[in-house]
Amino acid sequence: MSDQLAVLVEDLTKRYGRLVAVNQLSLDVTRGEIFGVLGPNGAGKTTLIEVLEGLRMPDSGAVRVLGFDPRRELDMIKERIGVQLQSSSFFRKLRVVEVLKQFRSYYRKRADIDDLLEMVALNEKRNSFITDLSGGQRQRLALALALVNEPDIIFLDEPTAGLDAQVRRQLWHTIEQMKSAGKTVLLTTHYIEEAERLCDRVLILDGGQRIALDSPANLIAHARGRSARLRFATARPFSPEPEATFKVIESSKNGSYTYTAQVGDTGRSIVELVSAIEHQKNELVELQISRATLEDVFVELTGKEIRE
Amino acid sequence: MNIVWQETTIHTKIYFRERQAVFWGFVFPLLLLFLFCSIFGGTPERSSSLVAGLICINVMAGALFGTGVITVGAREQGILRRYKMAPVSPWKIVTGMVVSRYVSITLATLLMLVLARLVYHITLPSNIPAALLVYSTGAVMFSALAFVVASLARSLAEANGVSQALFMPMMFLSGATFPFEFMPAWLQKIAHVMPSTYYVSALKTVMAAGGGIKECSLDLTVMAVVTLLAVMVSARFFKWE
Ligand SMILES: Nc1ncnc2c1ncn2[C@@H]1O[C@H](COP(=O)(O)OP(=O)(O)OP(=O)(O)O)[C@@H](O)[C@H]1O
Ligand SMILES: [Mg+2]
Repeated sequence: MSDQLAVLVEDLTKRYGRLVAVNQLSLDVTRGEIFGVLGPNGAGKTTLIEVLEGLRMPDSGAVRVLGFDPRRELDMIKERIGVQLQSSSFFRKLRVVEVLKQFRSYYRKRADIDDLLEMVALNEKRNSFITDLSGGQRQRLALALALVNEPDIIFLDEPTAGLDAQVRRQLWHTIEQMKSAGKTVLLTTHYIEEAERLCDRVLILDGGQRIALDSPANLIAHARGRSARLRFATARPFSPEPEATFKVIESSKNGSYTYTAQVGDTGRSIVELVSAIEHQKNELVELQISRATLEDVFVELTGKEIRE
Repeated sequence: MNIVWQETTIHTKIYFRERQAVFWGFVFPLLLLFLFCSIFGGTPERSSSLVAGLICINVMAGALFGTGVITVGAREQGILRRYKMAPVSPWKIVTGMVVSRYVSITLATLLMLVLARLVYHITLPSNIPAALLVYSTGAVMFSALAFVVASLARSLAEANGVSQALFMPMMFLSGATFPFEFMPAWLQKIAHVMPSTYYVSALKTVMAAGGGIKECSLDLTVMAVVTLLAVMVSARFFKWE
């Protein structure tokens, strides 16, 4: 196996009793990339990431992290990975800086505490007790804990869940900094914007199955008939020609007649739309074009909305 | 070793920062001391024997509730799971927790001995090494038993219930509170399967003038065997999540 691979998963299956949480999944994560796992609740994201961390035993398939097998060589892996669990709790009556120092002491390689606090913007809270932290601050502490050993790979299970928009952007920045520092990041998320904005590649997971795996741009480009969304309004009711290259998916009437359409080839569809309106002696009142998002891709591929 | 020391200090800090823990570990035993000695005391010898019982009660409560139940709570909250991610031997962390609890219980015990000496003129152990050995053997035994509870209990509520169910009879039947001799024969039989009975007996021996290791070698042997079994069971069944 190549040195370029941070993570390799082949045909991984993990069951809980009769429930198949991860089903014959294969993927690889290249060193230095930000790899996202996107999926709805119960998709198997946590299960996948915890198998990589050695917290859960796979039923079948091969897993390598930095070339090591979590089943047998976990100690080698532990020194070189950083982990943020989906939910972390700490002893109540410890101070932020004490927790960081405690966990740092378990590793051979040790990060600078001040740098860590700076990175997750917890400088002012360094001497606060865990009990006195907000949920978001605890989340950031958990992220800092994942960095105490200057890891090569960082596993983040929903790192920005429940954070407000500003803190989330700040964390994105931190994660991008890690990437610039040459680290590999594997994160799970519910947030499409997060995957789109942050990740080099995204795995879409649903029901434990791999639905798609590609860069956000490619996923969007390849989703058939989904490359853009048109919103337009006409003065009178409009009905598309049967052979139109776009598909009207929503219509409503408030003053004018408003439609939303999915289009594949944007340019051609607009020409077609305008001539159809003209042909029907109708009048175009308004036209908006927006690029398809990962969300559209997700809905198309899984037939579901991602949000809870 | 560094890690064990670090965990010991960390858990000692956590302990002394929790007001509740300090109340049950330090204030409550002293309240019991004054209560017991003023009701049942009378002579320094009687008080001395009551103090032996109180030391046992304090060690049992500290281990069962302070170590065992707290550990299950930490597991239930997912605190312990985080340690599994790090390249650290879990047993170093457990040892740190046990040692820190030993330190706090010992401080409480010393405080109680000093007060009992000043107020009730109890005799202090003359054979200090023997007293320390007996005291520590019991402390280690109850820590190990607490981990058995923590290993077998599936929830915090279960750990609490089991600990209560062990604590109550051991408190009343092992000679820690009521003199053993006043109990009916069948109760005495029950008492003899409780590890606390041997602890109280050994503590009483070393607290009385002249008592040494030889006089309580049977008690010490029983406690050592119980400890060994308890360590084996918890090593086999203890879970971090
Ligand atoms: N320890 C477990 N025992 C039994 N079933 C489990 C266990 N952990 C997870 N599952 C089940 O496996 C499936 C996948 O769960 P997982 O936690 O991996 O999903 P997820 O994608 O992380 O979801 P979320 O977005 O809610 O965190 C779910 O149906 C869940 O109920
Ligand atoms: Mg999850």
